[in-house]
Amino acid sequence: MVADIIVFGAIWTAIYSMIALGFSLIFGVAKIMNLSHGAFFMFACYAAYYLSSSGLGLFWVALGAIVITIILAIVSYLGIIKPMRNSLTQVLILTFAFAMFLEQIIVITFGPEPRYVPSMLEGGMSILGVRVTHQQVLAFVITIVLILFLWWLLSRTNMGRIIRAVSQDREMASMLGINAEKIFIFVMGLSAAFAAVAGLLVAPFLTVTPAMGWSPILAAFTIVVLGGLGNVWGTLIGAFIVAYAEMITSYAFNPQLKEAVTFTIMILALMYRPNGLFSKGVSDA
Amino acid sequence: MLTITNLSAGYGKAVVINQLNLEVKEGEMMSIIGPNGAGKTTLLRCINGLVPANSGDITFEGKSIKKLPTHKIARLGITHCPEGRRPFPEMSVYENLKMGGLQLNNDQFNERLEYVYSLFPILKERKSQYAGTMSGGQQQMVAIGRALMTSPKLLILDEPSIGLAPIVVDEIFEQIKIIKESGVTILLVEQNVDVALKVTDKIAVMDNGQISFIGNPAELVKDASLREIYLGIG
Repeated sequence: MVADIIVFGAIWTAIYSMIALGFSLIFGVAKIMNLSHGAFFMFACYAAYYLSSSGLGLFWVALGAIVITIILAIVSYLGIIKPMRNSLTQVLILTFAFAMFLEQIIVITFGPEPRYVPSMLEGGMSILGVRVTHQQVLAFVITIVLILFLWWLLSRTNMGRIIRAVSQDREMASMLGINAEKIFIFVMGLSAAFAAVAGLLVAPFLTVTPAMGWSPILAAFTIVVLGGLGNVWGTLIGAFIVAYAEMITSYAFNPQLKEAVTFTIMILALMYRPNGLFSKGVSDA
Repeated sequence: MLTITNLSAGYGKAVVINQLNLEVKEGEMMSIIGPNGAGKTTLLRCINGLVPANSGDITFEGKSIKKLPTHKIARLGITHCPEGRRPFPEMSVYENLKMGGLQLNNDQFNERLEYVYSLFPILKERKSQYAGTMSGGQQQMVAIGRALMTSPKLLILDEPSIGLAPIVVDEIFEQIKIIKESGVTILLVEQNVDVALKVTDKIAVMDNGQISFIGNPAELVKDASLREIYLGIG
């Protein structure tokens, strides 16, 4: 049981990190609290389901699903989020409503029953005596690679520096000739791409349903509360805490309690460390 | 180079700039002084497109910039070094300078970087330090250095002396003088009149959203009432 917790905790830390990083990034840069982030994750799973059932090869399925999700995110940004961007509350309500809307569209199109997406890799292996599928290993490896890619992008490239400059002082960045609006669109696309890739990787070992986006958004929300919004390292540690808390609950107690534990962590964090575990103390800012 | 005609602007119903006229000629340094609340910072923000103009016009090199977004105004060669310095705090000195030089190619960038390092050698020494951890004077050097990286035609400086020790103010104005002598047109807003008078070509007094006096430093000193208000000598 301990080995199960260690192995699956690591896999879910990686996947949650990936989902939460996208969520945290668009908030850090554009101050957009995007509650439809989980719906993007769900949408990418259905896009993959649709494309794979139409007989496309693996590569085209993945690429197609990612591109469609990016387009959806950018269109939703330009169409509904951008006009409301100055109000955090309006964006929160709007993106929540948009997530519900997407879910309904999917129910109408594909029906409420669960769907299955084929694995990218067949077979499995044993790690620390725990049976894991190759798909799970692939999910772990690709997420780690993409998190490193994000770190490299933000810290080592000009695009990353521009993204950080806009997130630290948008007005100052524009006074240096940076078009912040373009950066918001780029980051929105990047954030959605991360949600989409996470969806594609886990879809084969989850059941694909129209409501599947809510559980990861809850986890992502808790993770960024723990890690501090917009803080990359904090997000990784937050993902570690949430993933292991969920795995311990699942294996030692009852898998049904998983989300109750996540909620409990969120409530405790909001009560005692509302600015994240690494903030210098409680403030009302 | 920069011509402002009958400009009015404000926030909501509050009129801050009222029918203002001002011209800054190429190669010249213009300093605006005036009491708190006169609208100096608003005027600068208006030039940069951060505060919309209600009426009147702003032209730069003969072209109206009144309706352009801030980043496009910046790309025309107007760089604003704002009040409070505003370096990107969680970026290194080098990265801050990099953000100024985004429109340059590699060679131009390196040349410009050497120029900024020669003006402010401390920036080279501290290039890996986070700007937010530096002293006020050093942050001001980062901000001016970053503005210079854009190779501005018009450099706008808003209160570079604020909150700095007199010795640091002198040091920074020493460099501003060098920048001016290299041919950059400068528009300065400054409360520290003494130090502005030493380097500027022209001085404008702003009061209640209008320019009430414009002339060279000698003319300001000659004017008895202005001398009393701004220089404190009767």
